[in-house]
Amino acid sequence: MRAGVVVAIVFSVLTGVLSAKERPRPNAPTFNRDVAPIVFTHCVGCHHPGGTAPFSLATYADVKKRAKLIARVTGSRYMPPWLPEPGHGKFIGERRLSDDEIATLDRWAKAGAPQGAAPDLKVKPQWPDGWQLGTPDLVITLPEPFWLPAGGEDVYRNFVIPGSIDRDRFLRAVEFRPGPTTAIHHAFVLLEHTGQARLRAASQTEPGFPGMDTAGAGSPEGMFLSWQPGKQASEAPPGVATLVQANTDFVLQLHMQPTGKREKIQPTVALYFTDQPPTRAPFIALLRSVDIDIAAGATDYAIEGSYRLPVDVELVSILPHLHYLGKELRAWAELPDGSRRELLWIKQWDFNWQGDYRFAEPELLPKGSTIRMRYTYDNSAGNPRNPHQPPRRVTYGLESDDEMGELWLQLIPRDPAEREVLKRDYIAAVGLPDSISWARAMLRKNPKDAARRSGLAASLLSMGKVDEAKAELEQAVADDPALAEPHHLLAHLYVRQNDVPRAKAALQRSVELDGKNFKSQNDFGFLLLSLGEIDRAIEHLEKAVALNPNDGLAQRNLARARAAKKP
Amino acid sequence: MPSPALQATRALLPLLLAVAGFFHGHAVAVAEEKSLIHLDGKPADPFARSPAKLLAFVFARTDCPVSNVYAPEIQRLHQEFAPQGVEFWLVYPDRDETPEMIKRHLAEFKYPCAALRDPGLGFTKRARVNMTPEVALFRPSGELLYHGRIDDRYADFGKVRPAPTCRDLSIALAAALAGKPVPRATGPATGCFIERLHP
Repeated sequence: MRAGVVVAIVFSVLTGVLSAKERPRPNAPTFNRDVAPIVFTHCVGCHHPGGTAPFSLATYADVKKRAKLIARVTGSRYMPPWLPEPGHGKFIGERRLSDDEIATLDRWAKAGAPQGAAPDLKVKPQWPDGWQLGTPDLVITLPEPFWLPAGGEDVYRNFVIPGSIDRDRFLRAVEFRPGPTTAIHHAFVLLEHTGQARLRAASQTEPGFPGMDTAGAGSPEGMFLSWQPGKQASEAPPGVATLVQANTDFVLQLHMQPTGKREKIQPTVALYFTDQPPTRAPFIALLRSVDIDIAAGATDYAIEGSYRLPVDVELVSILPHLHYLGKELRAWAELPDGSRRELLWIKQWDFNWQGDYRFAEPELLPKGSTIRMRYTYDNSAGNPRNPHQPPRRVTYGLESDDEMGELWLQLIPRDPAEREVLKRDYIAAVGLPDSISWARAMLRKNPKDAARRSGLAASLLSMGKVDEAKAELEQAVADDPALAEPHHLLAHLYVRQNDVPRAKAALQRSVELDGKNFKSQNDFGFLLLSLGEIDRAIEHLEKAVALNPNDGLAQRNLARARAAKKP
Repeated sequence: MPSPALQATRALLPLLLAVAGFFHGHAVAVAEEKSLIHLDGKPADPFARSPAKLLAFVFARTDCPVSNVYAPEIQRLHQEFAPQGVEFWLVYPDRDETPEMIKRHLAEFKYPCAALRDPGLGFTKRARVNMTPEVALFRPSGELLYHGRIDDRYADFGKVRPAPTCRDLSIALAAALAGKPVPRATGPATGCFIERLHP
């Protein structure tokens, strides 16, 4: 009897010890009660069947088999991907776990990822099904797919979707969908209405054209249209819509990362229009440094920028842009009363998760506030994202292994009538000096770049620096006699100097070298019209209108020329 | 003189342990044992009668994004080292990944080598692998020469080099083929944990 009792006790103890791991620890989190609310709220937006993430987290089985991984990537805040620090700007679509939520996931993994009691599960996974803003007015896509290779480095490429809109429309929202691929890591939706991007793409053997230079395509005025996995559709603020002219080309700038297999790239973009003309017009301001020059090994290279507001504004959205060496970003406003408003703080920049941030409530900044930015960079071997191993000197440039430091700001003047005040002030204080600095930075990289030198001359002319502009243009002509634009700009310069014969000769040369530049065709036509050479004026103005039907100035000049021809 | 009760307990202890162990299905099922199977479910022993100089086992899963990114590198390594006598195998340790899923994966990612499953994780433990992708390098005798990452391209999640600066597996393969000591991996792997290894 006593032997039997001893056997039973030993048996019970042994089975109890060996079963401990199977029983949930007291007070351990369970999936049903504690983990599902976190995962279903913060993760399944991307991590669902057919989602933009590589695997689903929509069921207990899915999450259990990755419990340790989830604890690891949330503990490091790699996931969910959200760069801004709390307390420095409050943004729409924040994807940040609390410290408690992270701790819960960690404790759950360490407890063996128990499921818990069925009645404790009170939430269901939900994710967007269909277009987030309802049926689009128009859906556009690439005319033909691009095939991303299986391996290699990241690919930056710009894809042109030509002339999709048959009349001028007011655009109010955009949703980007990558399609059935996880290779697209972020995207910008841009507009281009001069045809230059289309020309650039036509010169390539594959769809689109490479690099970060968008051939003039830019964000719609007043809207940032960036996308990263999980990003909500981009909607304009109330009262805001951007005019998209008929036949405008859309340009999708895509950052793609090889996945290990060949990927078909053919995203779609949903467009939402409004018939209501905008009542408010945002102004996009850019603070940046183009004098970036980071020595190999530098770990805290810093740039700064600032702009003092001439009018009361609402700061609606903010978009930082750096490349792989970016480290820490801060943006803030110093108000006239001496207070400081924190706008954005990113402790560790990640180029892969760049995008725009829309304030949950616009930041009201009074006249006289100074917006400041400070960025740092790490060009050491200790930065694994450094595109150069071993590190080497990095300067400002458009390629991904160059560096940039930009802060784009979407500003809406509180008084719409003050938008022109803001625009003129910004251009004089920041815009023109920046364009000159930018062109000079580009010329440091390539002194023989006659096109850039022409751009520099254009900015100098805008600032009235005629002699400097002339010197740059004469150098551009010498460097590239076949380039048309220097002659075009020289014509403007000669007009300023009332030297009409030279202006005429320069414009003649410009259109001979490049008959497809609608601006030079228009300018030559206008000059001929002013000289009474009506037939030739009509000839060139008709070419201008044919090249760019959206050019209202050329259309008006042509109408005047035709009227002048009538007997 | 021990009491009859104590004598009985001592005598029965092995049986008690075996019986107790029988009821711990999970813990016992993940015991270290040969557990490799072919995709058709038949037992596999790649070491048996292998003419190779070395056997390289690449641990993968169909939905691990890090593992998948390395598919072209595995192709490259196979191209370089298979002619030198290295036999490459893919090993899928996730018991939920069916043969059909694996076959699709092999085709999609153009893997040049055959695949095995290790649902019991016995071989995975023997290979001292903890995540996908990791690689274990053996001599045909069964001697484990290397286990760990393929290269240092991933410093951590979200910290990816544009190109590796240290190709740990290539270095290990070259050293092993040359009969030299095989260096260890210079850092930890990054990827998807094989979580059933440590429940």
